[in-house]
Amino acid sequence: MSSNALEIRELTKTFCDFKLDGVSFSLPTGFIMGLVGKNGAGKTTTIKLIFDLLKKENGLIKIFGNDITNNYDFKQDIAVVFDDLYFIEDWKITDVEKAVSPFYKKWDTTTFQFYLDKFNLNRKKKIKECSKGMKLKISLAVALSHQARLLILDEPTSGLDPVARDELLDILLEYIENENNSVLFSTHITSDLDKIADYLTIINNGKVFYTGLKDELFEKYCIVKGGIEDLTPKLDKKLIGVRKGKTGFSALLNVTDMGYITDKIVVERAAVDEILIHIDRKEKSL
Amino acid sequence: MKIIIQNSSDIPIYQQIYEQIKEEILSGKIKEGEVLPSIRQLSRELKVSVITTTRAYTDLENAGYIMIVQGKGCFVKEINANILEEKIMSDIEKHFYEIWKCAKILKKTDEELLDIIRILMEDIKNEQ
Amino acid sequence: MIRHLIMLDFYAMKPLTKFMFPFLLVPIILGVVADLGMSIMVTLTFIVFMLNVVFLITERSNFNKLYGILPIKKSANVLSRYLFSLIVIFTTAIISFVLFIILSVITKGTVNLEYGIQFLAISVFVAILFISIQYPFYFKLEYTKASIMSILPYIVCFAIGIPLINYLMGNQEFYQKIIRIIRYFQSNMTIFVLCVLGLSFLFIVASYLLSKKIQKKEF
Repeated sequence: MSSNALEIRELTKTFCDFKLDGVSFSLPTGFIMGLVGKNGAGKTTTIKLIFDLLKKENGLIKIFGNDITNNYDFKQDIAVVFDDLYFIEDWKITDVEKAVSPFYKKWDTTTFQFYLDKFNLNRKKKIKECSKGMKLKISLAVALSHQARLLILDEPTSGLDPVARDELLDILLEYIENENNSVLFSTHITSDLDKIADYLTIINNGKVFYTGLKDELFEKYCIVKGGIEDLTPKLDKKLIGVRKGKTGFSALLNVTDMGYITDKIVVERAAVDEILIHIDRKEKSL
Repeated sequence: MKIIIQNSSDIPIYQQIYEQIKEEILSGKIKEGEVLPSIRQLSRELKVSVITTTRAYTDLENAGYIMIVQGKGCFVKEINANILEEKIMSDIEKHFYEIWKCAKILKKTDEELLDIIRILMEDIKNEQ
Repeated sequence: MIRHLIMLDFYAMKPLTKFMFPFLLVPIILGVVADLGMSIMVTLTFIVFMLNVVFLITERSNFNKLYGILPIKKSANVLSRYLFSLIVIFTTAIISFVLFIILSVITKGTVNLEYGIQFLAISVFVAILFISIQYPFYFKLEYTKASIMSILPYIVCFAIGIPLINYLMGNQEFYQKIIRIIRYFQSNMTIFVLCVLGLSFLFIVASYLLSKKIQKKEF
């Protein structure tokens, strides 16, 4: 068995106003990877390319070690949850199973029923009567019922309240209790990922800024803050996405450039949010 | 087993888990041979990443507290009484050094420090 | 796989079913008060309209995403939609023919089978011609655009066709030939029906191949 559930190399796709530019990352089997970036950074584009909803211009996508070009059978083993549903509004929840289950060799009704109960979903309810949270739960129940080994979620938490978000995190951790299962989870709500993600891939403007272990990201970058007078030209060059104000500056700094800071400058652990803000600032100042 | 994760703490989460399990083992709350939750169960339980719990368990294994058997689970190892004593002694030394440092900041003499310790010990005895 | 995709189209039609039965009353009434053959024609035209609405429903429900997620061959949904439409058209044809027989017996006491089959063949041909012309637009464009654009071929046909027919009808020799062909078909029912069905088959296959080639590939 391949050690990577998902491997993406140099994935490229051009639109008239946006370019996904040489995106590469790999997700080892058995772990959760967060795909982070602000809206429009290229997260959904990447996921759509995996499912062939968009045609890739260049690059390679491997799932469980196999190149997926011109192949559709791999979809038996992966599942996706998009932030919108793709079922007929007039369907009842039971109709969803009737319509979708025949396509999957390993569909398991018991599992589906189990999740409907777990999520408190009324089987007679029509899709159009469901709230955003319930729709997500239907998607999840469908996704988890055909024994997929790779679960991909596109912005699943954006429409959920904190309680439902917490439930989702629990479901994901339960899912990877089986170490053959892996999760790719795209979001801009980083507090979710701070907790459960093992790996992070940060994309900004169609390019990968960081990919690797989440903990190593925090070892690699830190936030520095200080007064404007402490900002030497040498340091200024090394800082990433400096924000200057009357009261001082703050910026992201690669730990290897720590030699440039003076003892008046405060160094803090960088949160994913702050990293996103500063790399976006850097992009705009260029 | 009781583990409390403090997200706001400066101590990394894997270390918090490590320290707390270690304490439970040393204090005898978890007995030798007892099965610990698997890495993946624990990460679900604590809502932390698998990598984090893996690191805590690997550190515990390297320090000789637990044994990870592939496919069977994690067991608390038998702790040699001498090693245990040695470990606890080193903890006492470490903490005492902190106390001594604090006393020196307050410019207490050795005699005064001993008096403080005596009074504190009396207090603890009375409380018990 | 195709079978399940066809079933998926039937499930997609679910919101339409409640409109279907009241609408079936229209051809029945029309059949009684006007012409029985016409009722077959109207039913089938109505069903073509319903089939177009299936595109609207599936587009609104993000079925293109669903097709991408399901483990199916890309473009299999094009084939399944054509097969689904044929199944619907033929089922409706059978129902409307049964209806034609029943109404004939009730209103006239006899059944003019030849007349019915003639209308049935023409109606099926017209229905298939319609979807053959419209479907490539629906597969290529969004529903609203497609529903406007798919009228274009008819306008072009009328714009070129009517003057052309007028011109040709002025030609006595040509006119005589046409009349002879019509008479021939009128006296040879079987050949007429076979020709019409063969022509329908050609149209729909061409339309399918075109749709498969030009269908929208990015969502």
